[in-house]
Amino acid sequence: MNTNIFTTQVALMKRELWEHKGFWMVPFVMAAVLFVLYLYSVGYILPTKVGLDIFVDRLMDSNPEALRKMSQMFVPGTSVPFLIMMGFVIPFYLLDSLYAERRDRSILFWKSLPITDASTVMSKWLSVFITFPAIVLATVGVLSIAMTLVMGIIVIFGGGSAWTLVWSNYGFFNGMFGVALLLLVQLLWYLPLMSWLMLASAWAKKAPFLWATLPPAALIILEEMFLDSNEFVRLLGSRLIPFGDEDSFNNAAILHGDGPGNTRLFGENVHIEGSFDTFSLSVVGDLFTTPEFWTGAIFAAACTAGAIALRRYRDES
Amino acid sequence: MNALVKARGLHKAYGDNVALDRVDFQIEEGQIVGLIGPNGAGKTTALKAILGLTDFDGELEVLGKNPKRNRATIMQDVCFIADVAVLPRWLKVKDAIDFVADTHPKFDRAKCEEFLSRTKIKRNSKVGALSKGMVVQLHLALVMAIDAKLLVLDEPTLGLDILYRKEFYASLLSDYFDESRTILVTTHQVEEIEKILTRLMFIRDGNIILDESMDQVGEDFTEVLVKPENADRAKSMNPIHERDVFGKKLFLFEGVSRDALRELGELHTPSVADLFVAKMKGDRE
Repeated sequence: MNTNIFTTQVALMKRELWEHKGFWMVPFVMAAVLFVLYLYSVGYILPTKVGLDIFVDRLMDSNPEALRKMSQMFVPGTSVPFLIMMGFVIPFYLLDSLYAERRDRSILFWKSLPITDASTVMSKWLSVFITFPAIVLATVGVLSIAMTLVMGIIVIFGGGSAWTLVWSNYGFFNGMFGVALLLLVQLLWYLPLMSWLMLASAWAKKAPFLWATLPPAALIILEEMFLDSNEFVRLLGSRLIPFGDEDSFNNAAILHGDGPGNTRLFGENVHIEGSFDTFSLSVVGDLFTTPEFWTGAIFAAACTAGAIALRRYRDES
Repeated sequence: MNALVKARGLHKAYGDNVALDRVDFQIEEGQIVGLIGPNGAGKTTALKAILGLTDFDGELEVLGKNPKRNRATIMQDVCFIADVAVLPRWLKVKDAIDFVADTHPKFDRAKCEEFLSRTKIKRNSKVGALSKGMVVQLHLALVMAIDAKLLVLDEPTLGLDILYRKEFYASLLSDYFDESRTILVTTHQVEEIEKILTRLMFIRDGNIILDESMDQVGEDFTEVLVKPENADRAKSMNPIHERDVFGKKLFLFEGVSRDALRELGELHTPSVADLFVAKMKGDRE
C-alpha cells in the first residue's frame, strides 16, 4: 500500500466527515427547508397576495441599477443563514474534536496507527477551513441557482422577460467569490476563539463546554473584583462581535467598512453598502495588516500546540 | 536472538501508587509472550509504555526507538488490539478498511478482505451495529492484514463468548503467527492461551516475578499428586503451594528435580493457571 502525508491527511479529513455528519447534513437540511419556504412564498404567497403581473410590473418599473444590485444579492443573501449556522456547527465540532475519541476510547484505535498527533490535529483545522466551507459554499451555490431559476420562471409566468429582469444580472461567480472571501476572513478572525475551544476539547476529561466557558468567565469576574476593570470582557466582546461600536475596532479596518470598495464584511449594512463585485483578495491582505489578526494567530498557534501536546502525552487510563 | 523490546529499570507511578517498579525485561522475535497478572499489577501500564501511550521513567526501547518520542514511527511495525470497545461505533466497516489502507504502509487490503469474507460482517454495517464478537473479528482482520513485527493484545477476548474466543486464538495462530512475528498478550483467561505461549511473564505489584520460556517453566515447576502418607515428606521439601484434590494433596514445587519428586507420587507439569495462583498467593504469605 502506498501511503504518504497526503493520503494520510485526506483519510483523516474523511474520518472527520464520517464522524461529524452534521458537516453535510446540517447544510443539506437547511437548504431543503429554505428552498421549500422559498417555493411557498414565491409560488403561492406572491401570486395570491400580490399578484404576479403586479410584481413583474414593479420589477420593470425599477431602475436597472437597483435591479442589478438586487439580483447580485441572490448569492450573498442566500449565504447569510448558512454563515450563521456555521457559527453554531463549528464551535460544537471543535469542542468535540479531541474529546469524543477519548470518551468512547476509540483513541486507542487511532493511536495504534502510524499517524502523528500533529497530523490528527491538523485534520481538524483543515475540516474547519476547507471541508466544511466547501460543503457550505456548494450548498449555497446550488440553492441560489435553484432559487434564481424559480424566480425567472415566476417572472415568465407574470409576463416579463426572465433574462432581462433576473438572469442577466445574476452575478453568480462574483457572489460566490465574495461569500468565499467573507467566509475566509471570518474564519481567520475567529481563529483564536476556535483554537481555545479545541484546547478545551483536548483538555477536558468531562464537559468540554464548561472547560471552554468557565475559565474566561472566572477571569472576567476576578478582573472585576481585584482590578475593578473590564478589559478582558471588552477584548472578548470585540473578538466575538466585531461590529457595532466603531471606536473599539478602529484597528481592524476591514471589519467595519473602511476597506476597499467600502465593503462591510460584518454588520447589518452588508446588503446596502456591500458591493460584492468589488470584493477581491485584498480584503484578506487587509486583515493581515491588523495587529488583532496577528495576536489572534499567535494565541491560536499556542492553543493548537497545547492541543497536540495533550493528545500526545495524556495518559488514557 | 533479536530483542524487539528492551526495558531496563522501567518505572511508572501514579501518585503514590507504583504501577511498574523498575522492571527489566526483553521480548524477543518469534515469541508469543503471555504477560499475566491480577488487576492493577501493572500489565496495562507496561503495554501502554511500549505503545507510546504513557510517559515513564527508566529505559525502554521498542524496535530500537524510544516509544515516548516515536509512537507514530513505531506503529508502522507494531499493532495493538485493546479490549473490544475501541473501534468507534459510528465507523462503517468499509470505511475502517479504507482508513487503515490509506494510513498504514504495511496494510494488505486483499488479505483483510479475505479474513472478513470468512465472517458474517457486512461492509456497510457500522461498528455500533455489530456484536462484540464481530467487532473483535473486524479488528483482528484489520490487524492481521498488517505486516507488523510486534502485535500487542490487551485482553483481546474480554467479554466474548467461548466460540469467538477459541476462534480468535486459532486464526491468530494459523493465519498470522510465524517465526518472524512476535505477539505480546495479556489476559485473565490464561487457560486459553497457555497452549500457544512460548514465554511466560508473571507480574505482581509492579514487579516481574516470573519470566521464563514455557520449556523452562516445564523444567522448573512440577506438580505432584501426593498420597496422604507422603504429605509430611512433601511439605519438608518446601513446596510453593499446596491444595487438596479428591482427598489427595497436590503440591507444587519450584526448582526441585523430578527425580527427587518421583517417589512422592504422580508428577505433572502444572497448568499456567495453577502456577499463577501459586505464585500470586505463595509469595504473599
